[in-house]
Amino acid sequence: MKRLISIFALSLVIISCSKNLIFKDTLINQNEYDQFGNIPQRNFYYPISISDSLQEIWQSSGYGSNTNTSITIYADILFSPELAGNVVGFNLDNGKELGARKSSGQISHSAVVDRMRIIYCVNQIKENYGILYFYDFIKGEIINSIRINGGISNELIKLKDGIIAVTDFGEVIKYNFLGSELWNTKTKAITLSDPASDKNDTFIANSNGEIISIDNETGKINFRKDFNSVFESGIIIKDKKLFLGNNEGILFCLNSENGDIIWSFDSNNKIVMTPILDDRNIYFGNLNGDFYSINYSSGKINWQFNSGGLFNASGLVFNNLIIQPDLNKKLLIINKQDGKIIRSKNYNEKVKMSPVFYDNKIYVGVDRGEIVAYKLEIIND
Amino acid sequence: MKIKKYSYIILFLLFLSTNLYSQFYFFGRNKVQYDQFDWRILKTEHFDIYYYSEFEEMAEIGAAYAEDAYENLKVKFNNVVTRRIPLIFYNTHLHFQQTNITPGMIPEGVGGFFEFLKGRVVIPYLGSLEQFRHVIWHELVHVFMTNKIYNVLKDHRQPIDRLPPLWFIEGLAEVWSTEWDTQAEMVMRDVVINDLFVGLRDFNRIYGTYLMYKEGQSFLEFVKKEYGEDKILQIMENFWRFIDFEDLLEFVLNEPIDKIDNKWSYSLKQKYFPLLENKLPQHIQGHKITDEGYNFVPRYYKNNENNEIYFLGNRTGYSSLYKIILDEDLENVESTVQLIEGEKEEVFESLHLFKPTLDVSNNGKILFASKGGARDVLHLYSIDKEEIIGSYEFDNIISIEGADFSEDGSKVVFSAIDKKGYTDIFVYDFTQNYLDRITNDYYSDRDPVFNENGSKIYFVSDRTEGKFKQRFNLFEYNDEDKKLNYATYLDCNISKPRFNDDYSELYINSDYDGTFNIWRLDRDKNHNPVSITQITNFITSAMDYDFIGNDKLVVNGFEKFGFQFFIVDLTEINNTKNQSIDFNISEAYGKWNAKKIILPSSKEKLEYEKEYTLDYAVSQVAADPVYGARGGAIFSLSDLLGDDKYLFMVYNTAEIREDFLSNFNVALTRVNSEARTNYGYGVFHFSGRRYDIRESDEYFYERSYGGIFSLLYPFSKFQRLETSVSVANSDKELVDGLLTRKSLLVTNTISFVHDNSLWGPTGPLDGSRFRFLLGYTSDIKYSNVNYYSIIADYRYYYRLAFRTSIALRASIFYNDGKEARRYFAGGSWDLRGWNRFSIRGEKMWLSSLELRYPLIDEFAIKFPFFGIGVTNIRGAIFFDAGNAWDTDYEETLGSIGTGIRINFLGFITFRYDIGKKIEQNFTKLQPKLFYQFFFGWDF
Repeated sequence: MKRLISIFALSLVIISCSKNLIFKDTLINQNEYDQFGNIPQRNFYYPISISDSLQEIWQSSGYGSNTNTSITIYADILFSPELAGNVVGFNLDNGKELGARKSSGQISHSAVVDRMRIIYCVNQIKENYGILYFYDFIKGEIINSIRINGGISNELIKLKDGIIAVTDFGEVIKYNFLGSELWNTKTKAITLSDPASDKNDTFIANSNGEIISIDNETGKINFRKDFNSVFESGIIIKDKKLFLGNNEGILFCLNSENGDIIWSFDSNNKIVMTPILDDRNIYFGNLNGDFYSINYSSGKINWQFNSGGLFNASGLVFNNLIIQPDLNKKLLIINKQDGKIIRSKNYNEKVKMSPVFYDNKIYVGVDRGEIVAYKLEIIND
Repeated sequence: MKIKKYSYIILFLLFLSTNLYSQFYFFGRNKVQYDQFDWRILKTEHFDIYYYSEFEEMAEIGAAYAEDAYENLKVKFNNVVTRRIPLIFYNTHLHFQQTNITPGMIPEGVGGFFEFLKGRVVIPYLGSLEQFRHVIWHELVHVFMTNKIYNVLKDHRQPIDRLPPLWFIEGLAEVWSTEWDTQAEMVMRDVVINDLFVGLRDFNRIYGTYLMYKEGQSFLEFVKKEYGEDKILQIMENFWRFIDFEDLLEFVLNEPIDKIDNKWSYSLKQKYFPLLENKLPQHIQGHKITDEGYNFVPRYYKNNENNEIYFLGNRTGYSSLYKIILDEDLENVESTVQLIEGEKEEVFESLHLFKPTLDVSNNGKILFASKGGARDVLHLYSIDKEEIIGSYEFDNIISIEGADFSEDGSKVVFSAIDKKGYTDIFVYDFTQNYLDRITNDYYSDRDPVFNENGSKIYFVSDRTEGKFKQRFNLFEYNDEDKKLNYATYLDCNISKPRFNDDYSELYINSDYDGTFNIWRLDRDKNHNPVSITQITNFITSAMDYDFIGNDKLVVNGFEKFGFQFFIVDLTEINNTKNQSIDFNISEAYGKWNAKKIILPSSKEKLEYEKEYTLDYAVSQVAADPVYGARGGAIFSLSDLLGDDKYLFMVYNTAEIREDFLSNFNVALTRVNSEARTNYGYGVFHFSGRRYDIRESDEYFYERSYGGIFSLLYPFSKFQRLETSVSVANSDKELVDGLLTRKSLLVTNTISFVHDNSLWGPTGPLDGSRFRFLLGYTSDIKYSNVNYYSIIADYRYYYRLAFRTSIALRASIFYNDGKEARRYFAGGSWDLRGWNRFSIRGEKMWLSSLELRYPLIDEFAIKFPFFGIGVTNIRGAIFFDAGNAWDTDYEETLGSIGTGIRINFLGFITFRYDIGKKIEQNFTKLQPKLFYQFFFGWDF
């Protein structure tokens, strides 16, 4: 009996242990996919054509579920943020777990990668704050940890000289990469929308229905415009235009210099996902399962369909196809020209994360922490 | 049933717990499966819809509602439910009450439920498509919410064993399933204006009440308006973060809880206090004549010189038919008489207080409906003869609501639900014994009344088409040309049309200004309806009313969370502030069509086939320092409709390794409740050391195996016949290794059980219960055992006041024959003061007399940081007598004393008694007092 108990206890210890997130041999200045949407403006467009076949390379699981965010990549390490408070590192080539940094709480945005460190916020259990960690994964130590009132559920923005964090309570804070605060602007509004930034300004949308532009250098508010609505969709920026949807289902194209509406399109149902766009069109889905292609310049509809599911995570746009997650356990491969679903890949769990295209592969996050890597076949146009 | 061994007790309890469902062990009421339904399945994109054949059209409409709800709720919750959701439809509440999906009795106020274990949604059709839609949406909000919460907790690796508080669960289900409606408005007006409002932090005071539902809905409506609807979803999405729900609210709404609470309370006062300027409480606009219980459908009758009001009410816990006699000024009640007491026998099983049917004819007959077995029955009661003079039931009609006599009393028009679920208008001619159906479609047609000569019938219906689609408007049916026309065309709901005494004016109830008030229908010179004019201007609602002459009304009003009667003098009403609403009846035409999901092929409509899935599984392994390791498991499987269950139990009691195989205990039982006759059978093998409290205080080894078969036939909700046969081979070591007793025992029992008791917080308060059992047990192989059994156990509860009763118990337990088993008594449950289970014998009698009364209604202690409170502490004064014996009766034992009982969380009662035993053959009181603490319900 004693032997049985000992084996059982030892098994528990072994099961509950995992390697820490330390990669001593990792080289600096490697390629990276360092934040949600890859750049501060958020970009989900890749000007290549691909075939509609997804060839699975590997699949691997972490410790918990993910939300509508994405993985990030540095060199050959894939970082997966988990709602249970963990950042799990996987080998990019084979999916093998390399290590995990476990915390008690919630991570609901991508871990921003800056050379040898990752930056992420763990929203604390039973507390109304989060802790923003600056973690050096080569040394395996925390460089800085900062208490954030309310916590952070929004995607961080990585700029050249630091990061911008927008807290759930609407505080906008810029830090350098070591975690020193550069400026802090309190907007005093609940904010649950992923911000975006161009070279000079950061744009945030909040639950009071405001779009706020903040100077990246000083933190001063450039403009603050009330749209009398609730914004939960993320923002995407292109050519001095902002694109985002609101809870009434209206997609806005705004002038980034003054917040004026250039055009708007009513989809009738709540938009949560960050829209995606290419050179000509913008693509978005709503919670009713409607997916639209809208002319980038005119705001006129090109096509639409209803999947019967629900769109709350951003997809990827290629020259010929769109790869779009549908929460209803599907990954849709859509013909960009006419909106026809070419293929629908079914999963056992909900598809929550935005897929990431990197090195001719895409990485799809499925519920319960499962990451699946597929090789894409590039087609010469 | 003779309980043979410890192992049999487990088997018996296993069997009993499922077979008798809510029945409480020895007694209990019955859930009667009057009907056998031919279940079918309609498979839509997200749902498996279970219905029976006559209800197909309504099931198709319900399917469309369900799919609409799914599409709406997935947006609201930002979530999809990926499993198929089973929706089970019943065509009436009466059929719904027969469901086996939940084991308990379903009260009339329950309009559907979501069952968490298998995710089943069970919904009755309640007579209106809008209500059907509302309930489907309401229950699907529960489905989505529990799925969302489950996923939020699981995503964050939190224990999945908690849910938001009930006020949030039910409030959310209302907010996301319907608009703020008349009923919610009525309740909130009442509680705010009458200072009965309970704030957010005191919701535990109204836990589980209807007020909690409505206040929860009101609070979430406030959150929507003040903070934004997105915050409701955020409350759920952040549920993982805080254990304390108030902390969660503070985090999401970003304000201290007191401030949130105060803002909500203030917003309600801002909304409702201005009503006092132009509106009146019932007791100001009228004269209150009743003050107790719940009272519905007042009907006035001038009985010679007496002013009599007949009504349905609940003043004792049983719904009943009453009469009150008013003085000549209609000021005071001279007497109240209970004419028919419901809920005590099958014929008056329920008088449907929530959907009552009552009318009094000009020739002194009362018509009322009651549930009598499988369907509603109309009863005719003679006021002169003071007895039922006729009862009428109709083949195709299941449920009846609302009736009106013709002027001469020869006909009655009523609304009823048929097997298809259609709520239509019927006319029954007493003289011709003929039932005429006036409408026949899925619209809800209700509250019919005859005009003076019976040539027209006015009723309300949701068949309204056009800009006021699906509103309940007034319709006129002309019996001569059989045409049906709109009589109003308004953006409101109308109910209870009634003519005044001389039939010169038609009055209606309308919620045009927020709650139901009485209005008059106005006609132009061509007798065409053109407007309605408000007559009463109550803050809350008038539920029903009747005329006393042309100038006075008896009104059933809702005030201070009660339903009471008020006399309103129409000549004293100041009508200057009341409004008239015009309408153009020529705009009204046609009827709307309900959306349906009609599946083209029979492939999607399947016959129901039983598939068994796990209900529950419990296992345990324990290491005992004396007996070593032991373990066992119980699990249960059932079909989706819960009609057929398999129970499996396995455990092992080996004390040493060598005994492992020989000490396996296994039992498998099947229980079928599909038909009116429930049956069960099973096999068992039990082996191991036993301790039988009835025989001695020593252990013995026994191995037994065999089978059991049982039948249960309910005559009604209150009475049943039970019979069982068991065969068991028993090898028993009476003296370890020396003396054994082998037997092949066959036990036959038959019992008659009656129970119509009404329970208070700690036990029965009214009604009666009894069981009469005959049994015979014999060893058919070795003749070692051979005895017969008789049990007669009678309990009667006599109500002295609403919460005070005298309880009487008289029981005899009699076994006689070879190796007859012994009964036991003593302790808090029977002979109080005597040591627990210390009195044993093959024969036993028991008698108790007990006064049960309320002692303390609420007892609370408030500490600096928290408070504790106990409610419904009850007192008892008791006298017990009895004894047990084998061959010679020796003495009578007894006890006398007093005690208190406290119900803890609704499922256990703690009891503390102080008294004196009566000793030495009832000749001497115990010198000192005894003190006894235990748990258990009052007998």
